[in-house]
Amino acid sequence: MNILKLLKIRLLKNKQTRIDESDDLYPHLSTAKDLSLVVCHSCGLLNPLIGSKKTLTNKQTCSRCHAVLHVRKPSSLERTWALMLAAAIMYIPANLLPMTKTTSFMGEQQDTIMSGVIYFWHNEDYFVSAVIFTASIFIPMLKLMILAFLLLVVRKQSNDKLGFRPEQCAFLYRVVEFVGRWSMIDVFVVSLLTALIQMQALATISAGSGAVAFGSVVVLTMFASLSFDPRIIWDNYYKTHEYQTHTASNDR
Amino acid sequence: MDSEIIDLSKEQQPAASEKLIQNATNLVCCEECDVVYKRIELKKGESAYCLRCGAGLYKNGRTLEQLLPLVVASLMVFVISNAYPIVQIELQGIRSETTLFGAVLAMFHEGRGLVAILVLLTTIVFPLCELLLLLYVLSPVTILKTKPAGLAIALRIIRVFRIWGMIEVFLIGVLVTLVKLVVMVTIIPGIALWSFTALTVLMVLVISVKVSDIWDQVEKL
Repeated sequence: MNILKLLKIRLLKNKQTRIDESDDLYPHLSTAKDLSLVVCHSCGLLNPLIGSKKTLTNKQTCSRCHAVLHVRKPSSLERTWALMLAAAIMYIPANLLPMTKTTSFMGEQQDTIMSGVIYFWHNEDYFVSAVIFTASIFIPMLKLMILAFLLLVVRKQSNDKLGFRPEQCAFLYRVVEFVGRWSMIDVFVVSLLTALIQMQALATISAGSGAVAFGSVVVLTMFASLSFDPRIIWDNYYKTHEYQTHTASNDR
Repeated sequence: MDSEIIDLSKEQQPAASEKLIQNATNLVCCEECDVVYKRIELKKGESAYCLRCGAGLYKNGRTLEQLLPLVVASLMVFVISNAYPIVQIELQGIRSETTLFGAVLAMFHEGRGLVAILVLLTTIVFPLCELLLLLYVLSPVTILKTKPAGLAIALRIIRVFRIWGMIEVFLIGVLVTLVKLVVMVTIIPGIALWSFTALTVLMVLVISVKVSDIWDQVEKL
């Protein structure tokens, strides 16, 4: 609720400043990096940075929880790219291979995620159909697309033509983080069905190879969103924004 | 639970010249956009949000004394949830039931070991370890007012396990399974179905206290 409330306020604020055509869309707030501090990713304590400003050469640890400190998540974009692409590749077998194999007196039937959705839709179980579609097809797809979008935007932020505000990107990142875990639903459903429907003569359900691929998509996308550092969105925005205002004032 | 939105204003920013090293605990940093603010005292139930990106910074929510009973309750409900079958189904006189661990074993028997391990970790191992570690940290801190040995490591593990614990997702998984089966078989809900619902509510309350909030309260000892 708060996030939504906040987002609304933020978007309004943006529009106002946009109308003003002010140069500085956001108040320049000093970051930990500017102040030669580094925040501990594990306990949230600000530690004074020892040594060079940009990189931590020696492995400095947090004075409170002894976790290794990083100014930004190490090779964040590269890792996120790799994990996101791996997840995108696994997304194909996850959708093509059967999730469940049902053996009953009526014969053997293999179901992929989509065939399950269609089956329930035809049986007028719109609710189940919608839940499975959202959790198993829509959310993984959404996660992959948002991650790809963020990675591209962060890269393309050098020209402001795209017009995506950094806080919109920050919001998208928050969506990915929040939504990520919910695609595990289908993995749980398959294992529960496998455990429950073991009635020799009548019907048995066993997990198909699609379940493995699907599980890996969930895990890989979760790792991908964990390795993405949202602070880079802001870093790049300010880097280019300051550069542009600088060159503009030089031209005059 | 609606909490006040407090934006830390620009005046709350520390000047670069200030001696930051001595009072780093008086500062707070946004984990999502790296902006630094001076901490201000919050009233009960208030939360502080980042001025730039709107991420939650810290809050004056549940105290550790209030968190400990929630953790103990969660552990008890967790045991019940795993000891009893979640659901029993009946089809033409044949009955079948499963516990959570039964579902894991079924996946192992099917030769889907990787999926079985994934389910085992996300629904049993991570939540249980998180609760036990919270108990280990909170009981000496609240009762004896001392820091337990290995406090730092315990809290770091809690933070990681929290990301991967998926009790609430599992509950929705159970519900989807039931709705899928309801047209074909007779469903008799088990004790664990109700206790999983209770566990989900308790875990949401436990997780509402961030690890950094626990750190800040432990520091005040």
